[in-house]
Formats: sequence, structure tokens, C-alpha cells
Amino acid sequence: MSSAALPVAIIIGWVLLSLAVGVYAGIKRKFTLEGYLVSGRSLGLIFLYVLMAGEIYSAYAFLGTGGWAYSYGMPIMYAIGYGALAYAFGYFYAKYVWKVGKYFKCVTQADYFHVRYNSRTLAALVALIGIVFNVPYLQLQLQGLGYIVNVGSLNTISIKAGIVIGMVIMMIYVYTSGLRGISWTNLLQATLMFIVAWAILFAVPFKQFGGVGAMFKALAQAKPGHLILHPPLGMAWYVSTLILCGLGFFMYPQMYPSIYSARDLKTLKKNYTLLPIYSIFMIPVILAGFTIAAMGLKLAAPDEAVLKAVEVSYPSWVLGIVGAGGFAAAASTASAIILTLAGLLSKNLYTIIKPTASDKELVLASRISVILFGVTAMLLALFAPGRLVALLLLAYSGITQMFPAAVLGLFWKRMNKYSAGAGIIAGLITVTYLKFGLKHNPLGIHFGLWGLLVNFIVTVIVAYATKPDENFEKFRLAFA
Amino acid sequence: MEKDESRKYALVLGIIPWVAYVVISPAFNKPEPLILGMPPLMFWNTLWLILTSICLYGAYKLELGGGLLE
Repeated sequence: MSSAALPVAIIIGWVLLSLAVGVYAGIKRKFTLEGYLVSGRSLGLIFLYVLMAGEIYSAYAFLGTGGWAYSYGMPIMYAIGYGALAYAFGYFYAKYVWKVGKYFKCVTQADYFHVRYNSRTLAALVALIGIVFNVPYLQLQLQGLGYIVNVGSLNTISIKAGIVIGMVIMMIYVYTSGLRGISWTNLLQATLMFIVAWAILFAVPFKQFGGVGAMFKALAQAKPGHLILHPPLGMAWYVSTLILCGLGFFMYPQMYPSIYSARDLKTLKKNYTLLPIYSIFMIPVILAGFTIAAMGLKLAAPDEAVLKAVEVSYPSWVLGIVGAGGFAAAASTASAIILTLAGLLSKNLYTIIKPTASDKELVLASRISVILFGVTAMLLALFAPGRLVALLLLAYSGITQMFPAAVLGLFWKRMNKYSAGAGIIAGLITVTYLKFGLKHNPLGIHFGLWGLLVNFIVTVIVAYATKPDENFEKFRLAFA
Repeated sequence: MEKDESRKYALVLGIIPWVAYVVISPAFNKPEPLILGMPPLMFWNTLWLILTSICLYGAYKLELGGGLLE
């Protein structure tokens, strides 16, 4: 038996278990659109919690976070902070989203904009923004999955084979079981991610240096700059990134279906009180990255840091568990994104061509869209890795531009489709210019936050220059 | 407690983590002393993950008591 047999068996076993659970969750059900995209607004605390935890923390919560700790050091603390800020914001914001969803039967983010601004065009714009910025993210998840599975299987499963297997498995259970399938499989995935972080990665600094304090003392010798924030990732960058990411988090389209899927408000809110606790799993990931830096190891690519940490600290079969964890992290995120994008395409774009489409037809359209996005992301990951990197660099800043329209619209009658649309477009133009025209952050402040400032000013000016929204009172009925 | 009052205090609890990270955490940007083995900023940011959960749980209890979650 070769040494790779056990790790490969662990990975394949986990992938097949995920497939079985995901398919079993929905194979015998007849789904309405609401049942398919938001699990019939029926999820209790545990399934809601693992759905969100799995969806939020992706393969790059392992690769990217560890890589940043390895190559930059303390600036990675932004990732620890913004999650907590986002949950503190979401604790209040999600209540409105959930109520609007329930009252108006929304199943996508664009639906929320549609019912507030009574504009199919604005909803289509929101849907397009969500799709354009998320397809490259989906591709990135698949590349991360392929890479981790490749290393985890001791190079037995090639990167391309990993990408194909991972994507096909996801497409099958998302196709059959919709959000219900994702929430069931995410119970497996979120648990495994937690185990990989705490049972495997947390021990790395202890194994290499005898403790966390000793590791940081070694790091202070090897890379003194790693212990503090430093330009260009200095204080202004750190604070502005915390604000941008804390606010922008709930503008990602995949947040909306998960919010709608909550059984009631108590469940939804309790879930947000518990999410910051889950995110502590990033601390062991960061410690693993720091350990590699403290050991003075040179890596070809920073993203290798966490896998390197496991490789130097454990017998090789443990990499198999990490490989399965890589699938877990990528699949729990990517499957939710695929379903979200499928919902946007069928419910908010397809219905422009065919407004009379029945509920049953929209379920089918969503399922076909799942395959469409799955295959697109797979082909991009296989044949054009890195091609969409420009979109990825803009993604968070771009998505965040929906903030004024989404949040001001809740309380301010003057907000109408014109101010919402003008703000979003002005914000998008600003971030694109700053990233690719100016190419640096003015005053060290994150370019996305400058975009939000321009966006906000344009939104307010247009809101005062045009008529208040007649649809506002009708929208507010959701909160009556 | 009055509905408006529980809403108000719950909101205050939700703003506390923002203050802890955005306003206070930059003051911890120094290499030492190591606290529980961690550099000060890492210690503070990790601690506040737990404290954020506690703040939000407090907000939840207030809103529940004020009948705001029906």
C-alpha cells in the first residue's frame, strides 16, 4: 500500500459522504421556488448557523488568511475584526431583510431591491453586479479546492481532477436539493473546518516552538515587522478596511437567501450572536501562517503556508484530513454562491424575457442555471486561472456600493430608483478608477471606502433632486 | 422595559464592538508585551470576538424582553 492510499481514501470518502447527504436532503421532495432557493423559510438554529458559517468561510479562509499572516504579519488582523463588525451590523440589518422577504416572498437579493424601488431595471442591475463579481470568486474557490486536494492527496489527485470532482459533486446536490441540500452538507463541512483548525492547526506552534509565546518571540527575531501594522498596510488602511468590510459584508448576494431561510426572527438573531464565536477558528489558521514565517521557511507562493505548516508538523496521512477540509471549505461556500447566482439569473433576469413564467418553470430555470454557473466556473478554473483577477480585486469594493441603496432605502422616503441606481454606478466608477487608473489608495484609505463616499454623496444629491418614492409606504407595510 | 428603551439599549450594545475594533484596537498596534503569548493587537481582536458574542446576546435578551422579536 502506498503512503498516499490513506489520505486519498479520506478525501474520497468525505466527498462521497457529502454527496450522499446533500442528495438525500432533497431527492424525494417536490420543490416550489421558495422551497428550492430559501428552503421554505424553515431553517432552525443549527442548520441556519452551519449554513452561514460554511458559506462565509471559504477555502481562502485557510489559504489566504494563513498566507497573509506568513507574508505580511499583523495586517491580517483586519480579517478577525471585520467579521465581528459585520455580525454586529447584521444582527440589526438582517431583521429588516427577513421581514421584507417574508412579507413580499423574496428569494433573492435583487428581489429585495425590486420590492423597495418597484423597478425591474434596478433589480436587474443588482443581479448583474452580484453575478459579475461572484463568478471569479467561484472560480477562485475551485482553484483553491483543486490545490488543497492535490497537496492533501500527496499529489495523487491532480489539481484539474480535484476541480472537476469537486464541482460535479456540488452541482449534483445543489441541483437535486437546493438550499436544503447545502444546509445539510454544511453541517458536515462547518464541523470539519472547525476540527481542522482546532485539532490540527492549533497544535502547530506548540509542535514547532513549544508554545504560542515562544513562536512570537522567534518571529520577533526573524521578522520584527510582522508583529505590527506597517505601510502600505498601515493604520489608515487597517481602519478603513475594517469599516469597508464590516459594512459591505451584507451586500453580498448570497447573504440574502440564507437570511430569508430562517424560521423566525429569534432564530435569525440568535444565529448572529453565535457567529463571532465560530470565526475564532481563523486564529489557529493565522498561527500556522505565523509559525512558517517564524521558522524562516521560504515559500514559492504565500498561499502554501498552512499546508506547509501541516506538512512539517505531522505524518503525511494528516494531510488527507486537511485535503478533505479544503473540499469542505470550498464546497460549503461555492455551492451557496452557485445557488444564489442561479436564483438571480432565473428569478430576476429570465423573468424579464418571460414575465409569465410559472413557479414550476422557475425551479427548472434555477436548476439549469446551477449547471450553467457550475460549468462556467469549472471551465474558467481549468483553462483560464487568473484571467478574472481584475474583477476579484474589485469584488468587495464593488459589492459594497449597494450599501446606501439597501440601507438608506429602509428608512428614507426620498430614496427612489434614480438615487439608488445613480449612487451604485457612481461608486462603481470611482472604485474602478482608483484601482486601475490611480493605482493607489488616497491617504492610505481603502479605495472601496472612497467609492462609498462618492456613492453616498451622489445618492443624497439625486434623492433631493427627484421626487420621493411613491412605493415607500407600501414597502414599509412589511414592518407594520 | 419599554419597547423603545430596549431597542435603544440593544443598539448601544451593537455599537460597542465597532468602537472596540475601529476606535480602540489601533492603540494596541505595538510588538509587546505578549499577552497570553500573542502580540497586543492579536490579543485584543481575538478577545473581542468573544465579547462581541456577549454584547449581541445582551442585545438579544433586551429585544426579547421588549417583545421586539415577534
